[in-house]
Amino acid sequence: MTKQAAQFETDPYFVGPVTDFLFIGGLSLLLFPLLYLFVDDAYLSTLLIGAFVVQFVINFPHFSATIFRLYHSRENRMSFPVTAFVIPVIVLAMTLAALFSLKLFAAVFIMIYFLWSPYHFSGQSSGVTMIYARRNNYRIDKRERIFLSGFIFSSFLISFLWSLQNKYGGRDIDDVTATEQLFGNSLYTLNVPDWVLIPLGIVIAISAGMFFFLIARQTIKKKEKYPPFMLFLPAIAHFVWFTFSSRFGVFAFIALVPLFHSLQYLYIAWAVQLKEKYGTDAQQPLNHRKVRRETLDWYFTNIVGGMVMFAVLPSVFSKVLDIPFLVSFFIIATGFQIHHFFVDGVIWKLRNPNALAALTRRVDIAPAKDRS
Amino acid sequence: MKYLLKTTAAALTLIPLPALAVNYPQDVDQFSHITDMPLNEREILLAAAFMMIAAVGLTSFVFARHFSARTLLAFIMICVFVSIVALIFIFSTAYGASPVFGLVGMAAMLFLFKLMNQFEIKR
Repeated sequence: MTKQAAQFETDPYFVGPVTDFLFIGGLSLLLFPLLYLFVDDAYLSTLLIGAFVVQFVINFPHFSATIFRLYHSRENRMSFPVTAFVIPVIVLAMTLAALFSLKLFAAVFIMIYFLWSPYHFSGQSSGVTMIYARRNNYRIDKRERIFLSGFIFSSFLISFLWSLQNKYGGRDIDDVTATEQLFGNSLYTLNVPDWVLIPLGIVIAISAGMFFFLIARQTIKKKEKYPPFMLFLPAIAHFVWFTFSSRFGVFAFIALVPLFHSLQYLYIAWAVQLKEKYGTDAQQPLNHRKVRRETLDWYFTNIVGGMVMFAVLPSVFSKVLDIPFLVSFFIIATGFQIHHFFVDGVIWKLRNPNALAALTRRVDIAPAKDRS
Repeated sequence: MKYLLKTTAAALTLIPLPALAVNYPQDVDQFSHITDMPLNEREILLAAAFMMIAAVGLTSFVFARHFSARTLLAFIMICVFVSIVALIFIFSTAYGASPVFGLVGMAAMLFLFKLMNQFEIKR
């Protein structure tokens, strides 16, 4: 292990401690308690609508970024041909089936998405923790991984089950918006027994304790003062996201959790994009102007991609099939998200050395005044 | 061995008995009876799933020589994916009826997601 660690030169942060903290989950840790303490239900629904609008600049571009990463080069497409060419056909067929069978298949399609989406978020939280472990030269072996996954997946399952029991955040059905009802009808058809919470509660407590213990043991062996906080941040943020959203019902889950998940994702995808484009020469900081241009190009491409996927296409299908825009939007969004879950499972396995290096090295940008 | 074969044959003859007990109206012949039964929405969706599975299976069979083992495995996983989604769909009305079915349905979905995490990456 010591030999292996010596082979890779790693940096503890993608950019720096503050930026990494904010993007990886710190921002949500600051925001969620404030919302919880100071915002009442009436204001919360306004805020959630605001958060829903922000999806256009954060959440939707993150789906587009996945598609961009897989399809922008022939090499990437041919590395995973079934994911690139066959999965879109299968998902399109399922989406069309849902659009044509609103009462039967759409409910099941959305129900699958409702469970798959937090499962996917959990996978990312686990993956980001492992990236930071590697960056800080901490081992995440089988034991550590079991307890980390135990904590992350249980926190989503517990909140998910709370949401099922506490339908619409405990509000009266008459106070629930039509949008919430549309999604809620799919989600709340699952009838899961209450006792499942007990073993999950035990798993989450044991996993949290054991993961902390195993990391602390490594810290002591390394003769370091504290374990790196970034190793715990994704899991803590994940826990807060789900606990909070189960308190406020299904719409919070749709609007807020994806927002912070996407922020985390875009941050890492941006770093990978820059490293892939400009190489990994550690001695040479990236040119400030080039970084700005590439960042803007990449980000606006993804915003446009997101708008096409989540605004233009739903609008077209709504008009063609004569169904409400919201219904068309939710079904098409579900289709894109399921496609995203498949694509996201493979794109981080691309054997591009620059991309791999981006996950362990710092994005070093020269200050603006140094540019030549 | 002979005894086993005889027992199996006897058991097999018993299986269709409940089906034989079905009484069709005497004035309608079998052919017109089947064509008079249009597919409902659920059956159409299931037929689409079967067609999808058949198409993916046939593609992997026809191009087996040109595909790598990883690609063929991915095709098999697509068949599994479509089949499990179809099963989740068939039993969808049961998840709300009983906590046991709800738990089984949720476990089936979690299993499906775990399996699809390995999509096209297992060699």
